[in-house]
Amino acid sequence: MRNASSLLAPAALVAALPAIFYAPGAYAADYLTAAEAQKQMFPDATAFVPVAVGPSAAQIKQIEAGSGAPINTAFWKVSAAKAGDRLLGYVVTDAVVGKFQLISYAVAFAPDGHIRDVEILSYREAHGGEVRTKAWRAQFVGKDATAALAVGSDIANISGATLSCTHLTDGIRRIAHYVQIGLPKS
Amino acid sequence: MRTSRLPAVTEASGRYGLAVTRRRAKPLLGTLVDITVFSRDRDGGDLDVLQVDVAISAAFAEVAAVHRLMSFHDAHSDLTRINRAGVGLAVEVDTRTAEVLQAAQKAAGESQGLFDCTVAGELIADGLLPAVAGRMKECAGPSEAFSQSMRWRITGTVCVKLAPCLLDLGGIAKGYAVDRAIAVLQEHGIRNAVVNAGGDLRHIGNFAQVIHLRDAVEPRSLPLALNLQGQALASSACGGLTPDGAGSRASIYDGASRTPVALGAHAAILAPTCMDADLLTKVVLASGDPRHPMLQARGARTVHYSLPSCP
Repeated sequence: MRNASSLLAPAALVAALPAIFYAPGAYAADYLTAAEAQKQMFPDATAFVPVAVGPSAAQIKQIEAGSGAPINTAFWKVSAAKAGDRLLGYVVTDAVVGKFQLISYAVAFAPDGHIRDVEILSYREAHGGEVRTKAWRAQFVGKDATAALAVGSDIANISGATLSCTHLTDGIRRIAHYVQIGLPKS
Repeated sequence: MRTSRLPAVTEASGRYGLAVTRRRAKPLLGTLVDITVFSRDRDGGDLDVLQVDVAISAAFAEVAAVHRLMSFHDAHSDLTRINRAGVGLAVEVDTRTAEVLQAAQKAAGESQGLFDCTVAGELIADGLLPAVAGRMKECAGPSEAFSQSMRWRITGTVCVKLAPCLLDLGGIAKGYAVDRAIAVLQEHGIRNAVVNAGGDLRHIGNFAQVIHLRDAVEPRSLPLALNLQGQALASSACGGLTPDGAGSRASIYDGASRTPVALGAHAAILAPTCMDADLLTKVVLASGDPRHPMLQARGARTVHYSLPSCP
């Protein structure tokens, strides 16, 4: 409980909204689709060719040693960006789970494995432990994002908390190690 | 016209028939930076989606540039070059860094030292910032002989330390980055947009946007909403706000007394620019005065102020 809250703006400016309407923790935002993101990151590409995600057991060990954390390839999808036969680079999409958030994102790499760009694809918040359940996470995977969450989809912008992106930067680091170790340079 | 796959996510877009042309986000400034551009201005002219993407990419590039210049963590940033420099040594900085330092210098004077970007030493001592190589002695706290506002000076684009100190622009640079992103969007002909850097945000355009304010104590609760049009909104809470629960220590200091602001204190400020909104949250928190005179002088107002409950 707080004991010293004050609202100092005119009533016309600020309205306390019924809590039941804006259910807590339902903030969600959809950004680019994976297809839009890869086109944005490699505008000259003529094709995006799916690459099987298959680091060997030895490579997984190497990636985990390099990135300092166990890897989970469950959400990974890899595409090679090509202009004709020429390899322009790779796009890897992934999702990371925070305490009550799930962020899906795409990372673009040059053929030599250097990070070129990152685009966030979607951001979801949920109640407490809900984010760790398989059913809740399943709403992300391979789903057309026009089927947005029923509750809270009208919450477009939030102020008041700096969103942590520690999990995101950790996720990007793991993928960067994977691309260096697991994917061909040309 | 091509529109994104998004449903109309804002009340304004529903009310006025605006389509969301593009909404993109990138991890920058230690948070997610979210840029929304609306496709139609009041004249009814549709913006080309490719033009919009070029504008948004340029705005993100500008935010990234501000990040690189003013990062405390980056070994090559302007800020690190200042922090590594000895007393009396002139350090030439980018015009953007100079603009932020000038604003910080002015705010330090107007707030009589409450706003002070030399509290980095205290933040390092508390483990909230990493130590700066070769400059550990300068983390030792206030210098007896100098008032805080006299420890450094920016003249034009040259910064000089007058006493040993470490600068951290965390209380102001994020707001400035938002302002720069808005300026770049405008240079590209964008008229309706919102740039939100992890809760510090600014709106331009004809149609107000509803912004929800997150509760400092219960981050999943959104107890307030307000309309934002042509203004900026910034919120600061002292620790305890990160979704991962990592923010358990006081992260904001009163620059005059060098003491931390009460953990859980929370202020949200509306101002014409995001940099002013950002820095004024620190002034309000450090002074404990939600009607601090600096607000009116800058056309700003506090929309929320709360203190943590007593134990």
